[in-house]
Amino acid sequence: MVRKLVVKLRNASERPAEAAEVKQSQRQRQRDTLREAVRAIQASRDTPATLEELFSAVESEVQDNEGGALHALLGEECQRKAAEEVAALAEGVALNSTTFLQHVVRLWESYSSQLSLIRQVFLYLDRAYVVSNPGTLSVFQLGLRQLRCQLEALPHVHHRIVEGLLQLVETERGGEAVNRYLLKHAVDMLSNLRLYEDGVQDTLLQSASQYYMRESQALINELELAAYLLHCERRLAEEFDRCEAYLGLHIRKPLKDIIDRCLCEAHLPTILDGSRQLLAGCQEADLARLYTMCARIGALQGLRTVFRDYIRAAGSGIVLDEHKEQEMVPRMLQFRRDMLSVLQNSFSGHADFTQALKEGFEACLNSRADKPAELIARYLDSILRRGSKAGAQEGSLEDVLDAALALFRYVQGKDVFEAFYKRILSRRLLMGRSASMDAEKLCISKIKAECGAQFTNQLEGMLKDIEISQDIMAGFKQFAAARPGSLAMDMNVLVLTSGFWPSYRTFDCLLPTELLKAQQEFAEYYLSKHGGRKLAWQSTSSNCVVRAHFKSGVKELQASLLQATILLLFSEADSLSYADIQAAIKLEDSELRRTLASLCLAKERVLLKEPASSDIGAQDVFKYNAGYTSRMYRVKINYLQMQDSDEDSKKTNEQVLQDRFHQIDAAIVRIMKMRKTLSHNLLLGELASQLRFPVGQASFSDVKKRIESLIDREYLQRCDAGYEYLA
Amino acid sequence: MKRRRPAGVTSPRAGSKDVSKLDGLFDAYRDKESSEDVIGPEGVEKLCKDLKVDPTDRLVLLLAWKMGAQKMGYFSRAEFKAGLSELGATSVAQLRKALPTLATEVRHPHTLEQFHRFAFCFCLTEPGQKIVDTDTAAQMLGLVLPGAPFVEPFCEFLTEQKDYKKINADQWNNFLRFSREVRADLSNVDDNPAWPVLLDNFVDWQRARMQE
Repeated sequence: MVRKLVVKLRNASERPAEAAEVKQSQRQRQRDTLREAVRAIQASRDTPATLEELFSAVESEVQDNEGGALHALLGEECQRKAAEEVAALAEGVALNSTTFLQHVVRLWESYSSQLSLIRQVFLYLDRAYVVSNPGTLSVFQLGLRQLRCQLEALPHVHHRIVEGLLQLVETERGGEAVNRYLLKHAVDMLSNLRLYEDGVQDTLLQSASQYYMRESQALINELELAAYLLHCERRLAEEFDRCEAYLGLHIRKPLKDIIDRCLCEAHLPTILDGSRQLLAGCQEADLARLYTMCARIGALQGLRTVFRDYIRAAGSGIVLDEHKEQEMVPRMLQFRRDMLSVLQNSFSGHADFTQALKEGFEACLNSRADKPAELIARYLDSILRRGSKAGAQEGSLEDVLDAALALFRYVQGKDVFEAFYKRILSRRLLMGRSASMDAEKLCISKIKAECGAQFTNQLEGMLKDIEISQDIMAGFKQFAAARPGSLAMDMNVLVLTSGFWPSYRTFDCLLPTELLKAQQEFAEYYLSKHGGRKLAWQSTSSNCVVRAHFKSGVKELQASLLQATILLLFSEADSLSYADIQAAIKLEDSELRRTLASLCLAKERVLLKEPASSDIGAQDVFKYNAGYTSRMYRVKINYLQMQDSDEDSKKTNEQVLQDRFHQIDAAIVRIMKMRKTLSHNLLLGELASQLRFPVGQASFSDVKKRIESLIDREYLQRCDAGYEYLA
Repeated sequence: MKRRRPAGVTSPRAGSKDVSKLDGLFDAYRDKESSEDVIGPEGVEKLCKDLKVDPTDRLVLLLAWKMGAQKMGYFSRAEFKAGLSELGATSVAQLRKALPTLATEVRHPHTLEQFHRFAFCFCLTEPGQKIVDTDTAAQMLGLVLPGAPFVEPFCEFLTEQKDYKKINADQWNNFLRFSREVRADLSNVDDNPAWPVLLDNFVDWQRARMQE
């Protein structure tokens, strides 16, 4: 075959006969030298002529238009060499992958370095011939092409290379160290031979996909979620590292996709399911990992749903726990703090997740009607009673209030809160239990910001009453001091505007003359200043300090007005019967029993009773307990009537309910007047947006009853479309 | 208003002869002791006896409806005459023959609705009364809609439940609709979310019973 080509060339240059003959032989020699040189280079021997000579030989050949022949010659030689090498390689197919790849890489290294030397020698061929003949391969490419052809001609060798490569990569994935140098060069070779991108890369990705699919299936059940997430993250880093080290950067993206798909997406339900536990443990770092992962695979909505549902479920657990009602608000606050921290630190405060947090808390706080609102009001009470001391543990008082009101914001039954807050505030103010007026004002201003001025109107009025009362008392004291014969009694009167304060039950009873006189004196003073007003004394909300002499010494008893009235009776007599007391103070029977019980059956027994049974009978006799002892100088006697019993909270709830009925009626009429006709569901929808409290499933039948009542009262009638307004 | 009548019944546009016959018939049952011109409970009972129907029979209620009777147990002269002439009857015998046609007439949904509404008003005996106690309502329902879907369990429910002692016109009227629209297995009860709470409660009660 070689000779045939040469003959052809000779024929082509046969016109100037003799000169040609000479030249021909010269060229033949030159070409033989070149061929010899190529072979020498390929065999890593010294070339027969210096490289410079060879270079000029090539130059002259090409200038004589012999480039094509030269090119063909090179092709032949490379083909021969490549065939030789690949055949040698084929013998090692049975070797283990590392050794085999070592052979491959050795082959490649020598072949490519030889080739580049050849290219240098044949540089002129590249520059002149190849450039001017489009479609011809450059010297280097020609060499590569031959090697590639040879490899393709022996597919089992080719496959063995790929297989070896995959095997080593897999070994490395399995955690063993491999010779990365080998891999890099093998990849290099394949890529130079244009075998990598087209075939090998896909196989590589496929094998990665299989590997990770297999792995994830095993690990997802075996590992804890946190460890699994960590593993995914590590895998991704490893693959990136691998790409950088030898697989090539362009394969990064598909590899990342494979990891995302096999390790994450394929197990997303399991992962999201397990993430509840991460949330429960507030594992912020793991959650952050999960968040990044979900962001990568576009599964944030799923994570968001899990977040919301978790808050709803866990929060409802707290809210519905009736045994730990007292701790509900602190527990919810802690829960919210945890979730906020997760939101910030793990979910980078993403807007969707912020919304999810809000939805979750709204759902759980409203999973139980009204009670959370009541408990938040009570919690605020405990804070405001302790004042700045309460804040000391958990940041400033303001922060504590803010947190509690943030919970309040989620609650739909704001009217319940208002009712309880008002009731409790009134008690705090009247009993002087509030730690600081500034804190009270701060709290109310926050509620105001939340619910509007109308909501806090009465609450502010209450605070104002207390402040004005201080001025009034200052004035009264001057007035009293200037009056001869005035009582030397320390008295403090709070003047309350009746509309602002909750109504209390009042009991008629005969007060001791001293107290009556003091009341009269104050009334005289007050009415002289503010003519036209009416003063009504609230006996149940008053309290007194009574000084009592016991054997163990003098004590100050802090008691309610009714208790004090009874106690004062004992300054005249040591023993009084029930009937005596009844006659002296003319208090309603049940209230008298209750008050007496608080004096002789409760913790501080300043009175003794005969017989010593556990309830008050009409025949009982009461005695001053001379032997009473206490560690304290000032003793507080519990006020039974002021205790916020279940009955009290029931009453407040009933009152709220009644208010709601009126509001529902009014809203329905308002809506129907505007709409004329409306279907049931649309009416409910409009109601929900108009009312300040929830119209959920629980109160569903309440609303229906209101509608029925309105039908009954002929505000509405039924029609085919639903309801119709009757003008 | 022309209605189909069975053959052999004379025309309602009866002459003055017929009118005087009706007056005569009315006077035969009229409560002589009453200052008002009415047939009282005793007269009604006598009429029923002559018609050979039980006074608690549905037909009597239908007759009252036909007459447009305002008050239970009483027929005024005008009501009596209008009702009978509409039925084309001038004698007890004719009336007896005409009665069964009423039962046919109320099979028409629209007519039944009128009859159903009438029955509720018919129970309101006191001036200004707007509600009927549940026992009366249950009995009445049995008369008005015998054999209609849900009537039996609903009547049982009415007597059993404690939330309502009386029912109003809205609840009464809605029951007919309920009986017509809701399937026996209650599967489509939520198609109309606006059922009165009484009926919602009934649905719950009935479901609980069906589960047993």
